[in-house]
This record gives sequence, C-alpha cells and structure tokens, in this order.
Amino acid sequence: MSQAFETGADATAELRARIEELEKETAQLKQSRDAIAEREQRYESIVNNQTEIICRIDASLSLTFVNRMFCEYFNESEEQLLGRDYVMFLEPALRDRARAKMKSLFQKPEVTSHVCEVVRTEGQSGWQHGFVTPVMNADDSVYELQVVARVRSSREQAEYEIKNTEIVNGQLAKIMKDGLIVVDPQGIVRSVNEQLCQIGGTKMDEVIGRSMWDIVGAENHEILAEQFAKRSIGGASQYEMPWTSGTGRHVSAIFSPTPLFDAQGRFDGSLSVVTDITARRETEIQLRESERLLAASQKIARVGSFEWKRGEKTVTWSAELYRMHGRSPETFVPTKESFLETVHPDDRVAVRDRLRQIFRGVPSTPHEYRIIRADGEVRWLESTRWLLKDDKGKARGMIGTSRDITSQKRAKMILEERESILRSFYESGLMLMGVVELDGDDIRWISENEATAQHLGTTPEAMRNKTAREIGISPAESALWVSKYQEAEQTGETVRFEYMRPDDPSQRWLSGTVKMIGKSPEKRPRFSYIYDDITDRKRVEAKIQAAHDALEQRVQERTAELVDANRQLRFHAQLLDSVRESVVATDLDGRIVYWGKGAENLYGYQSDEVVGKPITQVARSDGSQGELRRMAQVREMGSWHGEFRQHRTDDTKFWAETVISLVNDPNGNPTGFIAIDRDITVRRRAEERTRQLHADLAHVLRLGTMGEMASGLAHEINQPLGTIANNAHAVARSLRNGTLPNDEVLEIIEEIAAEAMRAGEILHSLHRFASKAEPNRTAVDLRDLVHEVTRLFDSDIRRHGIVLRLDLEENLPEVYVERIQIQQVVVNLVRNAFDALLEDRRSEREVIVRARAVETGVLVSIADNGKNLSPDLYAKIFSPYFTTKKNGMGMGLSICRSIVGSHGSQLRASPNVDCGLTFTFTLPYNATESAPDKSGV
Amino acid sequence: MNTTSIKPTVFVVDDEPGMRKSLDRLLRSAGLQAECFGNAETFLREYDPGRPGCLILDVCMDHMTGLELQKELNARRILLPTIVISGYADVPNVVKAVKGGAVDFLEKPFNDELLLERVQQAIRLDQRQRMEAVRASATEARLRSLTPRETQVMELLVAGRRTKQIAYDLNISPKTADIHRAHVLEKMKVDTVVDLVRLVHDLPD
Repeated sequence: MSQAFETGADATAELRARIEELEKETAQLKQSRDAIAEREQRYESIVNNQTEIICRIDASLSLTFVNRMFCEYFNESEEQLLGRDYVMFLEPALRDRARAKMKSLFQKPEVTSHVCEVVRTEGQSGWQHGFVTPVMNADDSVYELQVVARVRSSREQAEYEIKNTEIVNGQLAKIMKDGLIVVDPQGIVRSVNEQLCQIGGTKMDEVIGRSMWDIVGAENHEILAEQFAKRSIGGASQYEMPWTSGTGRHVSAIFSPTPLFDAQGRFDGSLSVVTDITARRETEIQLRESERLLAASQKIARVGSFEWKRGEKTVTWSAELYRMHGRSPETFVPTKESFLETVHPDDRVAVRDRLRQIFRGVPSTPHEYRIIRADGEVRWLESTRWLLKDDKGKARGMIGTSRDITSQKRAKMILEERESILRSFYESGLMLMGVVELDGDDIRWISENEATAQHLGTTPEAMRNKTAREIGISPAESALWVSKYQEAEQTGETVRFEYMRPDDPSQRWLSGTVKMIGKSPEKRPRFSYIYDDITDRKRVEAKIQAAHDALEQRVQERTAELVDANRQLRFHAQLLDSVRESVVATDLDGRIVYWGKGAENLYGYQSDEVVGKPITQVARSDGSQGELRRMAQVREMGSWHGEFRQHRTDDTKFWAETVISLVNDPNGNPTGFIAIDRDITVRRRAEERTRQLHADLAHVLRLGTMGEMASGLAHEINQPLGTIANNAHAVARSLRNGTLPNDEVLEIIEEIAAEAMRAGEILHSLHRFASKAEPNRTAVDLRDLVHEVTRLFDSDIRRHGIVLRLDLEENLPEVYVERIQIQQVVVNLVRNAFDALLEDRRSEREVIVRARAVETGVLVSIADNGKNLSPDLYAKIFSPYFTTKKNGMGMGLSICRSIVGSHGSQLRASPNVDCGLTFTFTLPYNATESAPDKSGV
Repeated sequence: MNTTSIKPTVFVVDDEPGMRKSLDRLLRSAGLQAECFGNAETFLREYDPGRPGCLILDVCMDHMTGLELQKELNARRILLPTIVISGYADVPNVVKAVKGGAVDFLEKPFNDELLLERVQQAIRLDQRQRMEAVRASATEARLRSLTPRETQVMELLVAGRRTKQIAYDLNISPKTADIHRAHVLEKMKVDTVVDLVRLVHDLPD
C-alpha cells in the first residue's frame, strides 16, 4: 500500500514543481509586459505633452489630470489645478452650455470637437480648439473625459482679427475710445481709425502710407526697432511712446501691439491699440499706483509691492514684501543697495542689470530671481517693475510688485526634471517610438527615436519627413502598419498588435501600439507608435507552450496511473476503515500521518484534528520518553506489543492493547510506524476483578492458615514474653534484696529490651502476613521474604524436630512480585511439607527452601523428604477442595497455583528421586533495575 | 550422709536459652540455688538423684520433649518433684504432664510469686519424700534382722492377732510366742504392738 502512496506522491510532486516553474516564468513575462505598458503610457504623455493642452475630467467635471502645457497655459501648478471645476476655466457665457454637453458625454460617449474661449488665471482670455474624448472603462461605461486642446497661436488669432478688420473699422473702431493702427512689416501705416487720428492730431489720409519711423520721431526709433524685431517672431509687449502730434502737441500714448502673419506664416506687420494717456497721465498713474499697492497688499502671502521716488534714498516696502523677505521694518531699511544684498549672489548681477534697463526705459516684464531671507531660506520671487515718468518723460521714480513663486518654481523644476527623464527614456530607450502621419497608402515619419532608426537600418535625420517607401521598408510590413493606423484612425482607440516581421530572415517578432494623436496642418492623421522587439518573449512563450503540451501529455498519462493507484488505495483505505481496531500510522518522528475510522471511534478524535500532531499528544499514556524507548525497540525488533491506559476526548479512560510495527519502503528503509490499538477495557476489568477476588481469597486463606498455626505462633510469642517477665521479676527482686550483682542486673535489662524487640518483630511479620493488602507489585529481595516467613515456623521446628534448611543463593537480583502473596505461597508449601513429615516418625526429617537465579527469573523450590504420594493423589493435589488433612479446606495449593500463575509462572510438583515432593516456581526479575532485556512488556 | 545438710537445687531444663537464663536469674534473685540444662539428655546424664530440690521442665523441646523426660525419670524411680512449663496450655499436654507425675503446670509467662511459691512447695515435698524414704529404709533394715519365725510373729501381730492366737496359729506354746513377740518389739525398736503396726503401715508398698 505504502508503495502506491510513494509513487503517486512522487509524480504529483514532480508535476507540481514543473507547474510552479512555468507559473514563475509566466509571472516574469507578465511583469515585463506590464513594464512595457507603463512605458507606453508615459510615452503617450510625452508625445502629447509637446504641443497640446491635455486634461482629464471625471464625472463631476473636476480635473483629475493636467499636463505641463495646461499648467503653463493657466500659469498655475499641477497641485493648484487638480480637483478644480473644469468649466470654470471657460468664458462665463459658455459655462452652462459646456457643463450640460460634458455631462451628456458621460451618458452617451462620442468624440466632439470644440472651439471656445477660456479665461486664464490673470484675467486674460485665450482660445482653444480641441477634442473631447471619453475614456472608457472595461464595461464600456465612461470613466473620464480627456480634453486635448490646441491653443490658438497669436497668428491664428490675428488672422481671425484681420478678417474682422471691416468690423473694427466700421463699428468697433468707431465706438472705441482708443486708436487702432495697422502697419506692415516695414512700418508703413496701412490703416488707422478716427480715434487714432484724433490722438495724433492728424488726418487719416495724411497717415496711411506713411512710415511709422517718420511719424514718431528719431527718439523713438530704438523702441520701434526692438518692437518690430519681437513682433516678427511672434512676440509682442505693451509699450509707451511719446509722440509729437500734427498740431505740435506732446502726446503720450500706450501701444498694445499684436503681430500679424500671412497665410504662409510670414510676418505681416502688426495691429496696435493706442491709448492716449497724455491728459490724465499723472492722475491715472497715481491712481494705478495706489490701486496696485492696494491690490498687492490685499493679496496676502502672494504679492508685495514697493515704491521709490527719485531723490530718495530709501524704498517703501509693503508689509507683504517685508514678510516675503523674512525681515521687519524695525530692523531692515530697504534701499537699492540693501535690497541687492538680499538677492542670491548668483542672481544679483541679473537683477542689477534689470533695474538699469528699467531706468533706460525698457518696458517691464516679469522677472524671476532668488532671494535669501533673514533666516537663510532661499525663495524664488517674480517681480514686475514700472518706471514712473513726469510730464517731460523723465524718470521720477519706480514702482513694482513681487510675488513669491517658490512653490510653483519647485513644482516646475520637478516637472522639468521628470520631462527630461522621460525624454532621455524616449531618446535612449530600446523600444521604437515616434510619430507618423498617414500619407495616402504610405507612412510619413514626423518624429522618431534612435531605436526606430536603428531598427530600420538608418538614422533619425535620414528618416525625418520621409515615407516608408522612400526609406525602403518592405511593402508587406508597411502595408500591415498602414492597416493598423487606419484602424486606429477609425476607432480612435489605441490599437495593439503583434506580428512576425515579413521578409525578415531572422524571424523577429514585434509588438506594436499605435494611437491617433491628432492631425497635421495638412489634415493628415497623425499617430504615435511604440514598437518593441518581443522575439525573445515569443520564443520563451513557444517553449513554454511546448513544455506545457509535453507536461499535459505526461499529466494525462500519470493521471491514468494515479486513478488506478487511487482505486487501489481507496480499496485499502476502506479495508482499513472497516477494521474495528484503531489503525494509526506515524512517521519516524512519531507524527500522525494516518488516523483510521477505528481510531476515531476508539479515541474520539477526528482524523483532521490529529493528523500532523505527535502521537504522544493524543495517545500513549507514558509520554515522549516511553515513546522514544518504544520506537527504538520497534526499529530494532520490528514490532512491539503492550498495553496502555488511554484517554478519550471526553476524558473517559480505557485500556488499549497496542501492537506497533515498523513500515519499510521497498528498499527496506524504515518510513514510519503503524500502531493497531484494541480496546481491552472489558478484559482488563474482568482480569482486575479476578485479581481482586484472588487477593480476597488469598487473604481469607491466609487468615485460615494463621488460625491453623495459632498454637505454634502463640508459643513463639509467649517465649520472649515469658523471658521478659522472668527477667523483669528477677531485677525487681534483686533490687529489693540485692541478690544479684549490679552488672548482671544491667545485662538483664538489656536482654529484656532485646527480647521485647524480638517479640515485636514476630508480631510484625504476623501482621504483615495477615493484612489484607491491595494487589500491588514491588521490587522484593527474596531472601528477606523467605527469612521473614520461615520465622513463623520456629515453634513447629522445635516442637516436631523437623529441620528447615534455607539454601538461598547470595546476591539474588530483586524480583517484582506481590510480596504477601508470595509469602503465602512459601508458607503454604512449607506447611504442606511439614504436615507430610509429621505423619512420618523418622529422625532425619527436613524441608529445604532453595532459590536460584535463572534466565527467566528467580527459581524457587520447596522440597521435603517425606513419603511419596500415590499417583492418584498426585493428580489431584492442585484441585480446589482436595485435601488429605482432617481440617484442611483444600484451597492451599489451589491458591498457590493461581498466585504463581498471576506472576507469569507455573507451580509444578515433582517427586524427588529418593523420597518426598518438590514444588517449584519462578518469579520475574524487577524490570526497572536489572535485566531489562529479559523484561519484555 | 546427712540429707538435711545439702541445700536444695532448682533444676531447669529448657531449650530456649533466654527462658533458661531468665529463670536462673529469677530463682537466684529469690535466694534459691538453680542449675540449668539446655536439653533433657544432658540433665539425665548429669543429675545425681541424691541431690534434693525440684525440676522445672519445658514441655516443648527438640529431640526429647519434657513429657518424655518425665517418663524416663519415672522409669528410673527418680522422685524429683517436677513443675512443667509451656508456652501454651493445650489440654492433652496438661493431662499427659499430670499423669506423668508433674506436681504443677505453669503457662508462660508466669507470675513470679506463683512460680516461686510452687518451687518452694516442690522443694518441701522433695524434703518430705526424702525423709520418708530414709525412714522406710531403717524399718526395712530392722525387718530384715528378724528371724523367719519372728517375721511370722511380726506379721500376725500387725494383723491384730493376740499372743495366744499366734501360739495356736503357729502351733507353738504361748510361752514361746511371748518370747518371739518380745524379740520382735525389741528388734523393731518399738515399745508397743501399736507402734509396730504404725511403723510397718508407713512403709511404701
């Protein structure tokens, strides 16, 4: 049985190990696939990061994701933006409609496009054109909306405005208080409105066609040159320009220019809004100053402001500015010099240059620099400064605001770092990444990384803006790609696919992930792609599949074998369970491995409660020490047999007879133990009752024996008592009349004591013999035992002149017996011998008690030299109630025989060679001390 | 030999040394002379019947028991008064001892007063017996000095015959009968026929 167990377990273990190996490989593959997916995701964000504003919005229309462009566009950090209501970024008039539309997309997903005006944080507005794409969950419900928007360039905006020139001229221009002027790239005035003419003190036809350079005068040429240089590359900034009008009036005006571009993207002049500020110059400026200071102070923790007037040494700082610098008005006196002291040494030169430029009249732009606070902390500030001028255009002071942008700066730096990491990943990654356009039935590369070029056997420069055909990619592969891009275009989804490169002798596998990301200016669909060489993975997968198939084959074969073995096992198990005896198997350490139905019934423990536990926790009353001894014996001898007092789960007790055998594997190496327990409580109880009855009977018979021996025993006790009495009387008398010498009196007294002791000893052995002791075996010195009981025969010996000879071997090992019962046997046999001799009047009558150590124990014999028994009497002597004596009960030899029997021996009687009878029996050695090898159980 | 000049001895025969020794001490403490023997045989061998006293005899002994010794003493006509002692007084043994001539039977352990009293009684009995024995042997010697005719006359006198009747019975003259009568009274050292009758009657059978 155990063999079937073995082979089945081996095969299962092997299969399990193989499956674990495969699972581990699969897990590794999955991990690398996940890594790829993650990289893809990152790449997408990079690609999208380049030009578009991207954000995601959840069902409550809160922002859950914004890209860098988004942050820059709205000039806020990612942390500030996330969670805000997306709709609030739109023009107030659009908000309700947009909210309704967005919400409906969650119910009915579709891709929509929109053009709308948004409100930037500072209050400026801008234009967006983009797509809203629902992001789906696995169950096709909408998870989020992704908004991809392109910011309209200023060129596009200008185009838009140019288109409305008529409106500007016709309507807007009329109602506007400000002037409008459109100039060409050379500064020739193309168009002006009435307002401008008023400001300039001229007429429309006098201005149009003239050069700005002539109109504004030489002192303004520098500003104009700078402005035109800026505008030609799309930049523009407000500037102030003094102007002498046609009426000779000194005019001061603010120009707010917007550069214009033609359809080919070439610089095509600019449109400027011109505000006449001459009349209200000073009041306006003052008003604006105070307003700004007020606004600045109100933006607690955000904006600080300062003011400096020409001729004054100190600068006025707002409380906020002090706070930003970590300084207090009491201890810090702001001057130009002390302010520069607070600036970070690395930025100090730049700040000083900036200040100089302001004085030179360069228009103010926000400027970022670091300061070191009083407590040593470095902070980033963004400052904007304006020069204050008097009527004659002379600087009369400076005002400015500062904003603490440390946190934005920090966030920006982190974003930049992240972007550079991702970019390096893009550039140096092993995966093929890039952006392509579908150009008819061909593919055109817009962007690509080094890995793409290497893979196609070319360089990034050589590929840029080329088609697959031009690069020389196999038509089959290219056709495959085209079909995938088309699919991505049609579905708007990310398309993933794997393929083996056609026409590739090395049979390499690629995985592709493509997604449409927008359209080119030529309206060609644009896609991002990631390709990865998965040849190794494919090969491993193929190997795994092959191994799987082989394994499956083997599993099936083994399963068939196991089914067969199992059937056999089940048969054996049923067989085992049907046995009424408890069958328990343990391993070599005594841990239970099998717990049969019989064991469940016998002990009350269920199999699953005890399997795996040490057997000594469940059964075997003598604990682990006994178990160790037993296991050693079983391993040496092959089996063990014995009895235990056991407990059930409900704490009831029972006696079990246990046979333990060694279980070997086919090679003969031991693998465990099998123990078979049988409940022998009933038998044990009967045995115990019999033993108790025996003990009672033996006791009754001992008392009878005592009665029969009473006269002799009385003499035996009277002897010392008489002696004591005589001695005592002698002493008393002598003390009265001095008849005995003193030393003799002393001697007498000592003898009295000795005789009293002797009497006591006799009584003691009598008492021992007559007591009703509980059956209890102890280690006994047989010589002591014989000496003690034969004392009871002293008077008989004297009276009848029979010799009692004791021939007891020196240094007898101890025996393990019921002391009183064995004494009873000796007394009975000696008395029998005496009785046999009493009928005989020969002079040399003797009884010999012998004891010898033999292999099985101590052999005791009691022999007399009386008459021989007749054969018919000899046959009956052990029968109960048979006796030859007048007053005998006939129980003497019968009880002797059963006592000896309970000690594992047999009482035998045999005639001596010459005359008389010899009774023999053997008593077991004390197993706990000597001769343990002979003890058995 | 003057019998009264010898001090009476208490002889003890007991195989149990403790008992023997303690009896010896008890007797000596009472001012008696004691002599102890471990067994009957030794006593028989060493005992001089002329020594007065008494015998304390244990009934249970190896080899020759007390009762057997008693029998042997009787056979030898040794009239030493005997007190039998025993560890236990079973009726058959008591009967046997008394039949064997024991003057007393004592059970161990004994009352010392009782034992000594009995010992004294036994000693007195022995003295009396010895005196009687002496007396009897003197009378017998006188009887042996009588002639056959005088013996005939003495027997008839003791039988109560008068002189004349004796002369008639013996067919002799009354004168001759009177002379024999005178010789008998003289030889027997008595004064009257009454004294003669008492003397002869005291003789053991």
